[in-house]
Order: sequence, then structure tokens, then C-alpha cells
Amino acid sequence: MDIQFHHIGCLVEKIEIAIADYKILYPKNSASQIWEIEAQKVKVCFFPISPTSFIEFVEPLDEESPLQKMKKKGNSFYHLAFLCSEFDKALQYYETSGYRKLNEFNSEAFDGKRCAFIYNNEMHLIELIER
Amino acid sequence: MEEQEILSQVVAIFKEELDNEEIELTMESTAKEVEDWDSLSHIHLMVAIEKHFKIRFTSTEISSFKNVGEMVETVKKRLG
Repeated sequence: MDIQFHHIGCLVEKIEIAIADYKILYPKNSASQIWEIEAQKVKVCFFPISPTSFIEFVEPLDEESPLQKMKKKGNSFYHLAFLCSEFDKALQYYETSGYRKLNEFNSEAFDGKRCAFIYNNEMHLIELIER
Repeated sequence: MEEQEILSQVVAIFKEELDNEEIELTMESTAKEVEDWDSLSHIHLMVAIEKHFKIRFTSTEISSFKNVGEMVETVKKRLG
């Protein structure tokens, strides 16, 4: 079982504006394509901040989504995401170790592979991405 | 502990966690009827209830409570 940091998720009002903002910070870097994640009702893209890590800009599409409420409360950076081998084994290990699974879905941004959001005991939100 | 006493304590937890003193719950209350009780806050609420009553829900229970009453009954069972 092996995990590797992939991205930090950041709520944004408009992905295009966030890309432009971070292009100022990292002029040589370019954002990925934009995906619509149907299960989560969000648009996302990835902006590289190191050779192996990214900021994921997350634009909620549903006005009633919990993410909209979170954004309105002023939260922006809200989850850490890790690529994870042996996804089922890892998920079971974290759950039996006290983490709580929020949901599991297939992500268009990762070729349809499985992702799961879990909370740790400090109520930090962690995303596991099937490698 | 009786169900009404558990419910009363659960209401106090909801008010604290959702930062809303106006919240009123009955055994029949569901997430749709309570402002800001969404999928994200649900986990926070469940963990706050676990800590308060010093119990532990299973993941299946957390994802399958249909209303406040089912949650209260589960708390009551755990407390014995």
C-alpha cells in the first residue's frame, strides 16, 4: 500500500480567473484541461506547483451544493489528495483506523478511476485517488 | 437515558455545529428540513454526537440514518 501526494483542492468562483491568477505566480506553468465531474457537480482543473504536485481548482456547478456553502463561509483550500495503490485495501485500512468515508465516485479527471473522500479525526478532508 | 433527553442534547449539538440557535428538531426531522445539514456537515455532526455521548457509529449507520429519530435510537442502544 503506497500513497503519494497529488494535489490540494481549492474552491474557486471561476476556474478561468484562478488559472490566470496562478499564471501570474507561476508564469512558466500551464493548467490542465478542465473536466466536469458529474458525480460531484463541479468543474476542476489542475495547475502544477511542483513537478509532481498540483493545485486543483474546484468550481461548484450546483448552487445548492455543500461546496457552495463552504465557499460562502470563506473556505478555499479544503482537501488534500493522494494517489493510492491498492485502493480498496487502503480505504479499508483508513476506515478501520478511525477515518470516516464521506463518499466514493469515479472521476472523469482520472480516467474514470475511483476516488473517495474521507475525514480524519481532526475533520480534515482527504481524497484518495486510485492509481 | 430516555429518547427525549438524547434528542434534547442532539439539538444542542446541532445548534453548536451548524452555528444556528434557531434549529428545532423532532424525531421525524430529516436533513432536507434542516438548513446547512448537508453531506459535508453530516460527518461533522455525527462525530460531534459520538464525542458527546462517547459512542461510535459504524460507517453504515452514518450513511443510512433516515431521520433524527433513527440516530437518537442508535445512541440510546449504544448507551445501553
